[in-house]
Amino acid sequence: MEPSKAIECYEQAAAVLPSRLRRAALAESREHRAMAEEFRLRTGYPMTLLLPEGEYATGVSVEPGDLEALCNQATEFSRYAAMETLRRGYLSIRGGGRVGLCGSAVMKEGECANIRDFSSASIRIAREKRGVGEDVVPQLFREGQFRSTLILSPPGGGKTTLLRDLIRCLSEGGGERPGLRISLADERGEVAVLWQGEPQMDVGPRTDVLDGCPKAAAIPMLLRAMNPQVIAVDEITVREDIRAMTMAANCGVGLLATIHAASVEELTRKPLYTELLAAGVFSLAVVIRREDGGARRYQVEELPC
Amino acid sequence: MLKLLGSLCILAAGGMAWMDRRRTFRQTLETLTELLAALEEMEGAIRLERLPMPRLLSRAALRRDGPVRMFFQTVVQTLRRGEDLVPAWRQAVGELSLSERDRSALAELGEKLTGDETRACQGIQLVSRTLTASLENLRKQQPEREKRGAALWFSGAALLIILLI
Repeated sequence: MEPSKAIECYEQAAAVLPSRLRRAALAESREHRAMAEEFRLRTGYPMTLLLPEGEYATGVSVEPGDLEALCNQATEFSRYAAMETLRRGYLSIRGGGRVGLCGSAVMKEGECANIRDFSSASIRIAREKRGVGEDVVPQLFREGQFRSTLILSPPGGGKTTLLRDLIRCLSEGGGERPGLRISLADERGEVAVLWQGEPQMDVGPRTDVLDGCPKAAAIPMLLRAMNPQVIAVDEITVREDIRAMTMAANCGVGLLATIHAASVEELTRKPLYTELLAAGVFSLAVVIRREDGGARRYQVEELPC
Repeated sequence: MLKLLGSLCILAAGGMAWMDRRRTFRQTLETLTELLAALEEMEGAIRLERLPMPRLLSRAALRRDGPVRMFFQTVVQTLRRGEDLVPAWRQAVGELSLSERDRSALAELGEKLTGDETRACQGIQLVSRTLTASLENLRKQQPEREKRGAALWFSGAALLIILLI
């Protein structure tokens, strides 16, 4: 990503900070603004920037009330519009960033209904890296057919960034490979980043986006309504998502999804995903590994059936 | 002649004062009606569309007229400058031609709008009830006020004519 674009993303994420912290964030060096991956705010401690080499403390402390102001700015003073995600501990912000929140959970009938008295927050800066998936895409085809693929990495490894670029490449097509009709179930709104119906990130010309809808509900809707060749989703985390994806696979639709796992081996050890692997829904995995120096390497592997 | 001119001046001033009061009264009626319609739309948009506040307020500004349109426009512009909703809302409410009671109820709504759906909608309903009661009250008073104003104006005119004779 060009430094100017990276700085633009940084500034967009900084826009949700309370004014005092925003001023400090914008006063950071150009290098920090281009490289920062997250802002981290903990009440009573200095705000930090997450850089590839680790957390860097700015000189400004986070005071009680700053996190409430952050929540107001992030939801555009509309918590009612963000309640579904807020009770799951995060908020999607304009530009594709995500605010993760910690505090006191308000429980109702065994489920978290809200979070109050925020204690810390992380603001993930959205990064669009066009082209990261271009070398990977040809490896996802066998005999000219797209194979359902999982993208694996630990949290913060760049799964969403790769997913977005793979969607764009598949949607655009290239060489003798025709563009595919992709339906994207963008539950958190982080992949396409719809703003008044228009994707803010490039997801290709043949991509239909349904955002804000839980994946388990979105997949059948997309199947019925959009006649996709490939359905893409970000972060499979619950059994309902797996069931919906199995159903879609049985309808002959290709799947592209991300999962938190450092390797195929780790994936096979997780009970939730054994059902998915046993059903043979996915045949390939792209494993994201970080090399020394922070560069990412993408390795395509066959999944065990 | 001088007496006649003086009398006419007094009558005209009285008439103008009466017209001014009438205009203010009508403006308050119009403001209340427009506000109630806007609040009803806002409640629907919060419940059914989960529309974020800046878009919700922009839509209200587009659909409403007069001082209520100005009110919503002012709040939207303040939010676009990156300022907080609650003080922006309070300040804009101060510019509306309303009674102290209505103004105070409406000003408190700003804080409630930043809450979850239940809190925001309950806040809107509460303010709507207050404003509806004020509107009904004003409508009930309207014929009586007009009658009283006309009677006062004619009595003044009659008194002046008697004095002139």
